[in-house]
Amino acid sequence: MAVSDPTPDFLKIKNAFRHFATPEGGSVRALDGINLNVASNEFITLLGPSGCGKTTLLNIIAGFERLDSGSILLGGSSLLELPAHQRPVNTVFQSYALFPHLNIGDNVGYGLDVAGVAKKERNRRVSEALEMVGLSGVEKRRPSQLSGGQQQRVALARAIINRPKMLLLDEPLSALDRNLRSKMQIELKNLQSELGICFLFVTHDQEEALTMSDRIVVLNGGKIEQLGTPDEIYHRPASRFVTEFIGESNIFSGRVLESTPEFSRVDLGGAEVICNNPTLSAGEQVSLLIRPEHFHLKAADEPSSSRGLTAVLEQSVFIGRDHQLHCRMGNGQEVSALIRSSFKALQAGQPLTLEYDPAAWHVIPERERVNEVI
Amino acid sequence: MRKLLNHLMSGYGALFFIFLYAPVILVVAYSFNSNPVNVMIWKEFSFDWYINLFGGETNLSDSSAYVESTDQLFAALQVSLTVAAFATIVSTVLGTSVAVAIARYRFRLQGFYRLLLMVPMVMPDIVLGIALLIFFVGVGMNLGVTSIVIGHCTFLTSYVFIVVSARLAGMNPMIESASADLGANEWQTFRRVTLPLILPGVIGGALLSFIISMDDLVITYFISGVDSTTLPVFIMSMIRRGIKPEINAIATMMLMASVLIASAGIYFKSRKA
Repeated sequence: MAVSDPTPDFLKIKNAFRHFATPEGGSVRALDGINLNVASNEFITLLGPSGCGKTTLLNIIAGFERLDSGSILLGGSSLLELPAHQRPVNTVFQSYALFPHLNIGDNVGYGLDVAGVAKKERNRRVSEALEMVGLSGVEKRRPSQLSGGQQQRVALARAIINRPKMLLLDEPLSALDRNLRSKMQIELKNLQSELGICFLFVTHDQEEALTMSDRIVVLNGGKIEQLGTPDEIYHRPASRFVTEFIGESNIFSGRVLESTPEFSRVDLGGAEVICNNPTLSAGEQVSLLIRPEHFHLKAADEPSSSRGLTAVLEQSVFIGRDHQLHCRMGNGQEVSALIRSSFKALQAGQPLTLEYDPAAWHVIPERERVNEVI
Repeated sequence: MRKLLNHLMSGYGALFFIFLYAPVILVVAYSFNSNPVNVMIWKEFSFDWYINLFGGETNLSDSSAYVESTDQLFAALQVSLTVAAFATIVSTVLGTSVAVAIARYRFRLQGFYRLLLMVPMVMPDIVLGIALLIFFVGVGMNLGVTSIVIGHCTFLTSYVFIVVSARLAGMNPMIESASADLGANEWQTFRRVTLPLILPGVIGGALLSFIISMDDLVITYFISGVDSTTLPVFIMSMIRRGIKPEINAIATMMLMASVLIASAGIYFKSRKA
């Protein structure tokens, strides 16, 4: 399977709308004006809570659902006119959906059998596909005789054997245990670069999304909250929703006291922080984000600095390499910090100074949205 | 006290099953009774009634048997088998198709159609029999094998529908989506995926239809013509001339056939894919 030059706008989704009737007689917007361009060799993840529209979008691309309005182009030609069985995309289902009455060889070879590929080539490609997913020599076994992880690999082999232009993966790892899941995450990513095709991966697991994706689409209520690389999504979330959905975070509301090109001073209601953000102006109300791992504890003999939050330790949880500290600031606000475990035990009730780098603060754009129900 | 209660319960259980099966066991036992005059008085073990039924020579007097000629009995059996075979084929095809349609597609009045398919199963046989008779007479159709087949199909389709629907309901619909996703059109998906997976249900439904058709008396009685008497209708007419021991032998053979077919039906219906 040769890797061809990537096409930047391979998949083009324009103004995609889809709504569903609810049993109560209302209507929910599953897709509310989605615009998305995906490159032909990209690992892109649709991330969001259940009901955000991610699976609906995948089903529409696969051809199992229709679109109310909008267009979807794949490699320049419209997908929507084609029935599911004529689309050059294949799917790995959450439930695997292996054919229980066929053995593994016939499951993997199904796409080729339907297309009428000659037996010799078919058998060669079946073993090639099984080899790619690291599962050789199980052709004669039944799906029910394989473990969940092996069934997952069969589903993958079955989906790539038709050499799709794009692979759709619907939460394929959600049924696997933690260790196997991390292993499969790496394998999936490797498989994607090996095949050089676009993987559209659907998940609600932010860790999974951050690990594997080239870009992540964060969906909420049928709209794109943010589209960006894992790094952008994690460090520069575009909204409060993304901030809260991705990783642990401390979010503070405050008022800008002073803003200079070098730094800004923000009052968090009794506590003051310094952050590097030239876009702020004095008097403005802002939401500030700082990740727990961006705090560090000041040693007692170091000179005090103004770049620290004073708080009282309420609880310290040992989580292996790190300690999770739950603290309360003078103004009553909670703040959590993740610091490297040390041999010096921390006592609940102990006052701490949580130091930070002014660049670690991120200003969350005020663009709050409520999930609309028509 | 508790032990006594347990004994009473097992005793009750035994009595319950005796109540259910005693008549049937008696019929089987007395089919081997050689007493030609009184059915219920045991004389000695004999195969005479079976031999007599199949036209063999026995030392029974002619007056002790119903069947004037074995040909009549075999003719009735032949009509029954023909009716059952055709009715089974037609109702299996119709019942399976409608079950797939209702389970896999969305259309107007779907729930209503599902209900309409259930109704023939609870419809009183008398009502269905009379309705069919009036219909056939009304459209000017001669009563015969064809009318019986049509009549049986009206309710057998419901049985096949229910058995196949249950099988379809237990199937992950994603499996069919996966087939389409891999490039199979609707017909290929049906032939390669859906049909093999529901086949146990289809065969189970067909066997069930076959024994119900073989066994049906009330509806068939209304719509059978003069020269198209089925086995149950034939036996009914025999009984009118008094109960004679031969009937035990016929009943025993029908019972065996039913048990065999029903067991096969249950086996297929519950078989795992």
